[in-house]
Amino acid sequence: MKRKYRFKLKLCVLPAAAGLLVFYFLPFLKVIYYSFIKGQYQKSFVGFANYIDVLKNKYFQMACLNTLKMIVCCVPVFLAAAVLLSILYCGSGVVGNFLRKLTILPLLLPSVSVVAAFVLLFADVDSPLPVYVLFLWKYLGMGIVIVSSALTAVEPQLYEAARMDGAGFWALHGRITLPICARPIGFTAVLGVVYCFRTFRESYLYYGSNYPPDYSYTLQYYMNNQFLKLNYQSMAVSSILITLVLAAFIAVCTGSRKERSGNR
Amino acid sequence: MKKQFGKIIAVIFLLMVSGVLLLPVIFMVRKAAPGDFYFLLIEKFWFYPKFWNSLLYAAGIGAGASLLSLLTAFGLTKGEFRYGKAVSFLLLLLMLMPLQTTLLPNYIGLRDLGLLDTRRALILPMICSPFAIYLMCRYMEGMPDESWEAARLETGSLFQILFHVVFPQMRACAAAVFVFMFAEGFNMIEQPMYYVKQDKLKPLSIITDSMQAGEEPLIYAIGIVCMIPLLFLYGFYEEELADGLGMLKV
Repeated sequence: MKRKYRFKLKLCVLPAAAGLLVFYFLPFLKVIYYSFIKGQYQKSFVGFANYIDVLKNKYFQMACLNTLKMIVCCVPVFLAAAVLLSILYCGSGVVGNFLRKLTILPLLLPSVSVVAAFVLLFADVDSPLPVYVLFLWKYLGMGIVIVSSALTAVEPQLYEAARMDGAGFWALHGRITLPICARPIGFTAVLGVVYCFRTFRESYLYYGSNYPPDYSYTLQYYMNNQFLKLNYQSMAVSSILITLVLAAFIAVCTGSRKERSGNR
Repeated sequence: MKKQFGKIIAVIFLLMVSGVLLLPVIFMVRKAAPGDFYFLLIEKFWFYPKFWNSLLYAAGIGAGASLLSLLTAFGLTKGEFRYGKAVSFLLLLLMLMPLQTTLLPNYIGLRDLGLLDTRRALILPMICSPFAIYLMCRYMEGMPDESWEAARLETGSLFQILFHVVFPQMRACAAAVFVFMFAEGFNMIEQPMYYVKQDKLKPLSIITDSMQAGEEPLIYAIGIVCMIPLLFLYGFYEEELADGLGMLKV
């Protein structure tokens, strides 16, 4: 009887698994196939020629560089701001709680509305700064929510004991908070990288066209334009490259985390 | 004494930060003239269909994702799969994958099923959202096994157990997932751009593509109207949302 029940439970997964299979996994196999053939209608196998073409493309390289620049500039600021603000919010009692709830509001607001205001605020700025600010503005709330709920799980006795030993603000949080909340903070960092990719939406609305200025031309613009030109090969290649890089990054992160936490 | 002073400084700083966060919103509200609302709601007849489209997609995605993820998470966490770790890693990978990498597979899948250019094209792929499933799994792990195993003694029907035991406990979590997926559905930009060609199916989020030249100032009024459903939902379910998002640890 128990075996039949476990089987019924496993069946629960079926609808979502079918959906994921049909919309994500099976088409992904087709994407891999596309990346190795020459054209939509010729369908001749060309090996890695498509990969070499894309990697040599000057616009792809520029897009990669811009995306990397954004990640390197934005994610540390995002992380530092999330941690610092969470500490301040959690330490400020009721008022802090209320203000913290306001921070997640930008995430829920439709981008269409707010980008128009941003365009007016940041008229004629000659760098990707508006997009960075948009990223921080929209996604800081998420970082703050995650880090602050990790913070509330820290026992207050630890803080009291440390304060009795004379620890100041930086020592307190550097030695107690950061090591205890290392996993959520790490996850927030990974999330920051993912949100950097998602900022394409805001960037597209901000510049209002498919071809933004050179300093803001990121990988998503490249893929967007390839799609609109019906160049499925390039888009397939870039999708696969991004997937591989991200999979390696996540595997390294979760692998190292498992080693550190022993047999948890 | 010094600590009190430090706390007051912290609160003032936080107030300034909140002000900065809300600044674009306030700016937008100031820019929208009352006359714009008249134009939008009464004269411009393209507004209502797009608004209801947006609402339909967002509500469909929210409801579908929250129910499907509830079912799936229940099966995943209580079903004792042999390759649990691999499934968990795969789910995490899918969740953290940027949208652009899944756009092409989604497009091909929809095209092969002949679903392009329909309303279902925008709702169905988002219903199987890995983020919703992941969030629900984290919630489900907190639900005690005894509650549904006790119900299993009473009835053999899985549906009854889900409906009478699991769902009441997970109501707040389902609401949180609903709000989050609703916001994502309302904010969709790439999917309507690629999957849907007919103008009558397009939602409000890609309005800037199809607006005429003289109607630019209307965008502020559109923005305010778009904010209203989300503000409602946020006001009601804010606690559950913050609790749920806070459980997102890897």
